[in-house]
Amino acid sequence: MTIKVKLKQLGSKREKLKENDFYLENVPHTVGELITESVKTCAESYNLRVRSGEEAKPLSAGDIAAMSEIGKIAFGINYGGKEADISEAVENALQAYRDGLFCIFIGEKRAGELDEKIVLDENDIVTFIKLTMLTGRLW
Amino acid sequence: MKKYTEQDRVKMHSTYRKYMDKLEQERKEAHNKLSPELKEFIEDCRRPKSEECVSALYGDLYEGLSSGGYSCPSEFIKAKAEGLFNGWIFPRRKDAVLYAADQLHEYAFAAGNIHARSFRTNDPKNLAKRVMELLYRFSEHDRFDADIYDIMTDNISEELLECKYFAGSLCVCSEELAYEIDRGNKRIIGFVMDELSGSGASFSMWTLIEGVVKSHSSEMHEALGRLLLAARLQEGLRQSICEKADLGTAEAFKVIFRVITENGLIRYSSVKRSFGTWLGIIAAADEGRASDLERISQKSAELVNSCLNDPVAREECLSSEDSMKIYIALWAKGFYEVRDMLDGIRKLSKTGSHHQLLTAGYAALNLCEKELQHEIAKDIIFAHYSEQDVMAVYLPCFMPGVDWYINYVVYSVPVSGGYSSREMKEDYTKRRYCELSHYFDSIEEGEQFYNILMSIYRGIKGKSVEFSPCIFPWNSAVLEKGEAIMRLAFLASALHDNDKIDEVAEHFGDIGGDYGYYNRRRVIMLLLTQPETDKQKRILAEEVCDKAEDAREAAFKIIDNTDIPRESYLFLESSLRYKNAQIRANIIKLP
Repeated sequence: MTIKVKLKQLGSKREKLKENDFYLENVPHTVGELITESVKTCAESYNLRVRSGEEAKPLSAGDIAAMSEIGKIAFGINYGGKEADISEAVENALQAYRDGLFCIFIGEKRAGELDEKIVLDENDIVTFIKLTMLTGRLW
Repeated sequence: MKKYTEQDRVKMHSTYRKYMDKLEQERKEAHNKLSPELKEFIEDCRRPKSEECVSALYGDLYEGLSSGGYSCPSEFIKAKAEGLFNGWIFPRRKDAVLYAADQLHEYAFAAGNIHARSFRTNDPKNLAKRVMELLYRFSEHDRFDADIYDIMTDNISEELLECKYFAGSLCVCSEELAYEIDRGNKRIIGFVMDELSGSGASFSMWTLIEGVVKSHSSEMHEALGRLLLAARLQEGLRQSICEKADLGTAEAFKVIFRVITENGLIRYSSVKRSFGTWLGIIAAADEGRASDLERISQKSAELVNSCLNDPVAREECLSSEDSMKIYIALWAKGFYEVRDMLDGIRKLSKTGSHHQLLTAGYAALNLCEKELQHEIAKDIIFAHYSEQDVMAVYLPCFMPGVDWYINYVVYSVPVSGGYSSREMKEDYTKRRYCELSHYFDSIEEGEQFYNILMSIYRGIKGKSVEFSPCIFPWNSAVLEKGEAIMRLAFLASALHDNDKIDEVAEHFGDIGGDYGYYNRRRVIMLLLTQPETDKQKRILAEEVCDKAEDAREAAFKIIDNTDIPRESYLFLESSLRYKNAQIRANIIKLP
């Protein structure tokens, strides 16, 4: 199925958040399954890029300015040539969700625990929001 | 919490300064009323742990604890130091101080700095110094003469309130809190439990955590463990708890550690960093490097858990050939009593394999107590001086701080430290000697180790020999000629032996490294001031042309105050050909 994932648009002045098509191989019925399928899609896409041996494309001034907003300017290439371990990536993502490192909104509603049941239809809008650790010591 | 404007802070600063000036004056007046013995004792209380204590009362305390004359430190304080509670320490803190003094052996002795490790000991010398440090801390850091509950709940005067919020801390010693918890003060216990059950954003959280881990309340320890688990995104709170976890009682640490292992909290970088610091696997310089945190895993956490709680597992790990298992087993011994860890190292020295002995050396390096390091290194070096890799690992522990000691001797400043550069006196008219008793028990022992060190020195090809990797993949050890020469210089001087001085002086050029040039200057001043043999005079003349400016300067000043033979003048004359302007200028200046 295809859903719409809201992503932050780097460099865009008019539309900071834009919906992008995102393919899920299996229809998820719980929050945990949604995370699992999303991670699998991303990891497989990443591994495909590694296998195809993509080359660095030149970055324009606009690309550099956009990436500087998130604090990292990179070609996005895996120089090590090592593929992602999908099961490890899934486990990591599930643990991160349990730890509260990110939250998920399906439409306008925030998703709950991993075993919470969800109903996803084609083209439903899903937003992943990364939360920041509060670093720095107390008194 | 109330938010303060810039104007508020300016007023608070003024209040704080006036209060601190008043407090300092009161403490000075209290100090002036003390007996001369107590004043001398207070000077010792002020010294860092690494420096030697000289007061009669310190001697009394140490002897009393060693011989059993005092069954516990509080007996000494009641008998000989009660006068300190005249205002130098607030009288209301007396019970807390006496109680805390008797718990010191339960707390980690090397806490409070980036090199802290989680070791405990009942050793009288260590305990005596910590008693003095405790007394000093209650005088310096305990700033509000009020009940600790009132301070925590802001039930204090406006003046103290402004001082508290300007200082940003409770300004009380955590031992006071631990004492109140242990004696069952319901108000304090209720307040602390509320804070631990809340968001963990209390103003007094730092002192709270320290007080809880120093107490014996298992209920409080469990509450702290629950707060650690509930921290979630508050990495700062996790860091605060983990940093303090090991400086209190062993029971408190084990509760926190159980929470970490049962819930896999080792996945958080703050927990990993703390873990690395507790164990000494991450050096201070490496704490920021993500790659070095990879040394720690859930597996190592489980190993620590097993070694801490199961003596049989500890002994099994000690008998293995796995570096991490051996190291953690030794660490677990030192966690309860550091002398057991030293006995473990001695046992490995006698009956263990070469690899086990090397790994034990890594543990010795992490002892954080120079006297203990020297004690164990002496035994190991005596037995294994022909093994260069073992020497590379253990030599830094042997006679630690010898370069600073030589500094004290040549500049005629107190070995107990606490001097300013203005007090450093260079005297080229009289030779000064090191005291053998600083590191050794007898002349025979000194002679023995001189020969051993010379043998080590002669065995090194080139300036140094490096072993990398050594023990662990990230670790390396270097055996340097310069390190051996520094120690030989101490011994040659302490034994008052001109033959040895002649022998060592030949090798000044091997003293290098980061502080090599300063060390070379110190050793020249130590061994060649008022040279007594022809060889010393010849080497002194040669040192005027040393590559290092500091060494040249020292040699020149010595020669300027010494009668040297004609041959030396001829040599100096021939050195006028050197390009270095300072050498030529100095030689021309000589009479």
